[in-house]
Amino acid sequence: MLAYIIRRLVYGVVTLVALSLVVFLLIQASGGGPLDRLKLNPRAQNLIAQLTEQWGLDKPVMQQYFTWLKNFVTPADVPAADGLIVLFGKIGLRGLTPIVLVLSAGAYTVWAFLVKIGQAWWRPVRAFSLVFVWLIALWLAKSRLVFSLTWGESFRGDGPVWDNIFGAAGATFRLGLAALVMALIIGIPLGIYQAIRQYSFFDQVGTTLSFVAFSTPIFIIAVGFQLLLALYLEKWTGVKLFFVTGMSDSSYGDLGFMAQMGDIVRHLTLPAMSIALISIAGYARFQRASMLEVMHSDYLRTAKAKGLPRRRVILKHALRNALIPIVTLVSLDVAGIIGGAIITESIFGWPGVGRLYIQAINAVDYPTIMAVVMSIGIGIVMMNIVADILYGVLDPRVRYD
Amino acid sequence: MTRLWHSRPVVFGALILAFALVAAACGDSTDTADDSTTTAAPTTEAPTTTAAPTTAAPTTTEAPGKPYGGEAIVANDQEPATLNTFAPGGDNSIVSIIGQSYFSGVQEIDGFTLELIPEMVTELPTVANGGVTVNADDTMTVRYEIVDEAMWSDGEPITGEDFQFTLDIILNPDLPIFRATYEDIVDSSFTEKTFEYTLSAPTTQYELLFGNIIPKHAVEGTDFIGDWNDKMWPSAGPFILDTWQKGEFVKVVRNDNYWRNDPETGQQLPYLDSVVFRFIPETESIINAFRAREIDVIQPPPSTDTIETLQALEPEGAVVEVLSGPVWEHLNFQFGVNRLTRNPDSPNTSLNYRKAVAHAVDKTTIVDEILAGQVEPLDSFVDVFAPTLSQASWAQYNYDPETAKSYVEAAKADLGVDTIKTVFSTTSNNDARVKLSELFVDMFTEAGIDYTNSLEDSQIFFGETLDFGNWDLGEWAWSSSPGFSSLVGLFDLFDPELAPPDGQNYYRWGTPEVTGQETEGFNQAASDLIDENTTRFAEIRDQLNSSVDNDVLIPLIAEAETILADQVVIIPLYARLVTAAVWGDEIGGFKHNPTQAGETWNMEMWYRVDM
Repeated sequence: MLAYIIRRLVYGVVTLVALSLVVFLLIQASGGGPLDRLKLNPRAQNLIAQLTEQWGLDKPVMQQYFTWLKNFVTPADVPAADGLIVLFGKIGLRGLTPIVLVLSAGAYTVWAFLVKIGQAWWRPVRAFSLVFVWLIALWLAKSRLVFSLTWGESFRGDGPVWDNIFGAAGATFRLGLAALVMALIIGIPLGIYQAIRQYSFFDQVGTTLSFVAFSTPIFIIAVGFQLLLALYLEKWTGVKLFFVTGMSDSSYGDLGFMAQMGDIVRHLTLPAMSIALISIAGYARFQRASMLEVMHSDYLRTAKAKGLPRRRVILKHALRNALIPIVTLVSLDVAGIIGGAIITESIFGWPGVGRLYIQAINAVDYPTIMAVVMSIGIGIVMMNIVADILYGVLDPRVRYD
Repeated sequence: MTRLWHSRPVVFGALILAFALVAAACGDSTDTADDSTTTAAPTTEAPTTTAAPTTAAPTTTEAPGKPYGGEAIVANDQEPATLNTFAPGGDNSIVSIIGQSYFSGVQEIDGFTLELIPEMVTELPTVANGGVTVNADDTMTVRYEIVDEAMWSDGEPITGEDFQFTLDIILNPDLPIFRATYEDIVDSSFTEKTFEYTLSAPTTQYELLFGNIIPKHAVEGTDFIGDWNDKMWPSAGPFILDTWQKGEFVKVVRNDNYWRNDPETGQQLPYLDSVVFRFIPETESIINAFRAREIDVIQPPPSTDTIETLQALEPEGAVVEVLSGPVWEHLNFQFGVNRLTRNPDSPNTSLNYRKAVAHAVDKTTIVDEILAGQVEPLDSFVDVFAPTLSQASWAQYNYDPETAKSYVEAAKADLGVDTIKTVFSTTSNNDARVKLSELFVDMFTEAGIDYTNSLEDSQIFFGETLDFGNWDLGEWAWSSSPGFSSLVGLFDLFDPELAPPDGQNYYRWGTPEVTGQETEGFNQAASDLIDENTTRFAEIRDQLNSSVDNDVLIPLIAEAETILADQVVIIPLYARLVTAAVWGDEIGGFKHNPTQAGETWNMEMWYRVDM
């Protein structure tokens, strides 16, 4: 297992280096540069020359690439401190902590629920360990003890890229997590029910709606939600339930706890629903197919023949096995949160990484573009490895050679 | 699953969430701001020598008082990278729009007259009022007298030393700051309430200098670029930066030490407690948020669809202002040899061909199709800068396909060819320009010209094509400002000595052969069009850049305009629309300003109508 993980990590690093090189060269080949907006000012030649030198834009392309790579992997100066800061600060684990730790705790939660241990002591240990893991993860995440890089300076003039990306990552994570939870809560039961009632009216309608949702561009879904659930709903009912744009009210800090909770929900619902709708359709289709496959298997037929209650056959025998393929899908979806939220964040004025990415593209801000792409790349590589490992844990037939 | 939903904590949590949602929905969160602030008058100690403070002012004037308090929310599709307008990334419109809250300087652009007016100084210096002096050694001295009452938000007076400090910051060679004309300042001096500087030669560019002043007492000793990205020094404007929630909004709150009063009511400004600038990248979402009244004021990117959508809201209380803006689109001819890479048969050197194009282009149809006829086509680019100086020199080229055809035939004879071929280049990611290219197909074909579109992404067009002159017939826009300086600056674009990459003569009209350029792909050959007109134009340009005397400038500007029109070097098409909308039943005192000053130029005068 350890050798397998190390091998996968090495492959992952090679993949990421190749990805970075290809993307960097593509940006260079796409034409235009970060100082183009200044070129149209007839009196800006001196400033252009100064910034060209400062940002190294006059250097050969490969030299620029290696400068970027060096900035990307070099840890920032970590303030002197004790404990975990010293331990992890050296290897640069700081701002990524909130995401890594929460994802790790989430993965542990999934594993703890799915893994089957027959002994009686397992249930209380599982319960206490879950609480403990989440408390530690959230405490560490909040304290931002690990990782500190810079990833270079943004060409837009807004400081270190690392700070900008992880300033925005919290918003993207909030949106993505809400969308993921919505998708899981609705999509999986929907798929299960469709499979149990195969070819029923409900199944036919569900299948049709899934295809409609899956094939509708997200900007149409998003604008549709804005109009229906924010604009017209208020006109029809006189009550403003949801906001068209933004993540919070400008007076959020002055609100009480309940009002803050309400403010979060009212801003979060529409963008999260927009992203979730497509995932719901995907999960439902996937879960339906997976469930049907399991329900037609021999061991399930045997369970039914033995006279087990239908509910027990479905929940205990069919569902557990049918959930396994979903793990892969969800793992990749988690990594794809940033990529999937780009359009949604722009439409809803959500201050996340996707929006930062579009701003960076418009400004030809290479360091930020590269950092966002690499973040997504690292996430996908990591989650692929996690999914493969979880697969082996869930399915004993999978072996790591 | 069933057990989960029957568990009390889960049900309780769901109830709390539902309650929070309903509770929040029933009360408008913007109303939750402290009510006590809505009626509180600004501090009575702020103004020093001018009108009485707010609490007393309304009783001394006949005009009805305007209510204090409340908040306005402004939406924009851009978010600033930095709030420091001097830093790289800070020289754009959104920084300027937000900066109306806390920046102040020598001049601002009046939204009613669209002329420069004094802001922090008693009057704008001119030769006539003695503020500008051309010295015997051909240098020029400019003198500002600072308004006595002007002070920073922390109560410190604004002094001549602050002006000097601003100049020192701008000229600091270690800082990546746009310097331009400031580099021509050879001497400066100050007193408590005056500042004086000398330029190495007379130039109209002084008009726009010192538009933002930096407080020495707050900024001295700090890292000017690193420390002032997301915070702001003490304000000289009506508001103070309160919060920048990155990616979401900037909030500014009342500056109780603002020294200006409403000339109509005598009340101390500003009226509002706070203004929030929300950043919403998508135009559709901006419109939807405005329709939902989440936003009070918008200036969306212009399009006819947007205008129609907003005008449909007027019965509900929206006030929509559609004005011609400072950005003007124009058609251009390339005279350098690199145009042949785009069109080997380029006929641009033929004046008859250029006149044929001028007659073939139906500007009225263009304006009707692209701007729904909301503006008049341009007969001169001078209309955009200073209408009173315009000669309307392009009015001679009325739309007439038959005349165009006759010029095409003359051009064929000039060039000894059987067919006149044109390749048109502009940006492909601008709907208006794509529409223009579609309209040109019929217009040019009707005139007997073999026409081809060759559109590119704006990054390529502005990043490479324009620089290297790899275009034949092109189209893009320039931006203007009120006053002489911007107009004179426009003529600099045709400086024959300074073609790209060092200069801005993208047209390479009259550019002589250059040597020593190492940039790969740069065209070092002489322009294909150098004649007595280009020579005379170069002389005019030099004279424009060495005078501040209106009696000298005005005839020179007229002559330069005539040459550009008679030689059809460019063809002005139209000025872009600038649209703004406000909920008139919520916000009063709004007046749209189509220039780069933006819709917030008089935000200190805004007040809540519904309070």
